[in-house]
Amino acid sequence: MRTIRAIAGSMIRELLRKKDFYVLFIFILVLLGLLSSQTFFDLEGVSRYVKDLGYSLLMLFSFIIAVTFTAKQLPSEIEARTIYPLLAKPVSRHMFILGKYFGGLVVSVITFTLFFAVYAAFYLAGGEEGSPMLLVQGYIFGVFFLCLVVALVLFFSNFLTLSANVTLSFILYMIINGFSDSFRDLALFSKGAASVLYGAIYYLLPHFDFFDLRVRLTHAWDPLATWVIAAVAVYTFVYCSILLYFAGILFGRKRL
Amino acid sequence: MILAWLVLTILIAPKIGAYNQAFMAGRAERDVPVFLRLFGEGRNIVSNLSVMQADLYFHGGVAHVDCDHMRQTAMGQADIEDEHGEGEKRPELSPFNILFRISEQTEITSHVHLHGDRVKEVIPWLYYSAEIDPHNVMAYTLTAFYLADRLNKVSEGIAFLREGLRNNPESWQINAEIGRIYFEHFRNYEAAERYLKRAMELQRKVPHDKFQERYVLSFLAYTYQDMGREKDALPLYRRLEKLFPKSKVFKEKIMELSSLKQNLEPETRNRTGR
Repeated sequence: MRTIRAIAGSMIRELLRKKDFYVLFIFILVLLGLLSSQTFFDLEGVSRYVKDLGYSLLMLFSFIIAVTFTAKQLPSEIEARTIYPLLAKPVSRHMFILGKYFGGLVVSVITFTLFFAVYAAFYLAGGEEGSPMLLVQGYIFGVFFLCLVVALVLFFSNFLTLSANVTLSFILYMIINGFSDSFRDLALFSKGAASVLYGAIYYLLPHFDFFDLRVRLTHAWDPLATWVIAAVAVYTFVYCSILLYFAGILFGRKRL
Repeated sequence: MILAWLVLTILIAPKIGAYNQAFMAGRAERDVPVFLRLFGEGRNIVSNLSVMQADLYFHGGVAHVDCDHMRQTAMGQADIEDEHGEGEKRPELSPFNILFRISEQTEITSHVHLHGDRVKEVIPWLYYSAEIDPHNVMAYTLTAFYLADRLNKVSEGIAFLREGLRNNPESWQINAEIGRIYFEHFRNYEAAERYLKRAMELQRKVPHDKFQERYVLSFLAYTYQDMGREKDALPLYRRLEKLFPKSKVFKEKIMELSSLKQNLEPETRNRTGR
């Protein structure tokens, strides 16, 4: 546990030294401020487009930080040869991966929390029928989302270069957010072998779309049922565990 | 690899459909030069995507490709409803098909329309649509419709349409919309007649359907009738009856105005001594 904490601690210090986070934080703050100060034909309380764009930016920026930060952890350690003193200590390779995972996750969650605080302030100031319960669910789902992203990027970094890893993660993010419903409908409405094939693809894909509460938050739909949150939590845990297990195995077989 | 490509093609097809819809919403395909389609239509596409975003907001953030109430409402073809059913029904899911069930629960499929004051939420997207492409006529007419008819901002609606008319002086739609607002909201019949007649002239020069023609002619006919110019209204109702032979409304109007004309004619003859 102490090893994991030490690895995670060094990653947080790295975040504080990075400029990306500060730039994105100021950008989201200024953009939301500008958008909410905009008036249209003296209409009062027009807020949904601010909530919509705010949530999209919040998730995208958190994703960017999580991916770019996690993707370079293994390659940079190997390239700078700082991994050898670490592995010389009594740290198993699975433990090392777990340390990197929690480090990446803590960094991503801290970033997300700060972005989310800005978003929540604008969301609540927007008035209308914004539900605090939905806001809490949005935060929880954002953390689940980052758990999955960090695990996936760490898994990829065992066999992909830094740039390939970042590119693939972004492509996956766009495809799954844009076409996940199409995959599901393909599986539901096709028959026989095609249905099984599409179903298998659907089960294998990391479902970033499950965590997307943008429409619900923006248009003030009802909060999700508790069993759905629990089911998504279990899904995230299982998916991350499998990814990290295989990441550990791949890292163990890697020639350093 | 081929299979992956095929799957991707199948998945991308509906999205391309939406993109094409956005591209085509503004004008007919043959009107757009090829080089513009390749290089210069970006603004037009983004502007139409912004109108589509407004449509999405009108439906509470849920896409309904088969529902065009937002635009129809603005052109007088339908009225706002609160909720109505979905078309295609999904197969029953097994309780063990957990991922599909999660997806079903997280996704919103209800079909609702914004009503009352909440309609204001579509305005930013329509406003930006007109800002991005000042030749997007639909952005101006839709914005003015919601401002004047749903949000009680009639003067703002007229001002926005005037701005649209400056950018699109040959648009029959904007002329018709200004005429309609002058007729319905201000009872300013002279101004309504001026704009609606201009809309009628402009409409004749471009391809249009019978519903669009009805939109202009009916408001012009009502304007004439309210001005006491039944003689001018009658040919318009006859034209409308020709366009919509099954419509009882126009038949009744023609009968009403014809009998009025017959009653008026002997009086006129008596007065003039003929």
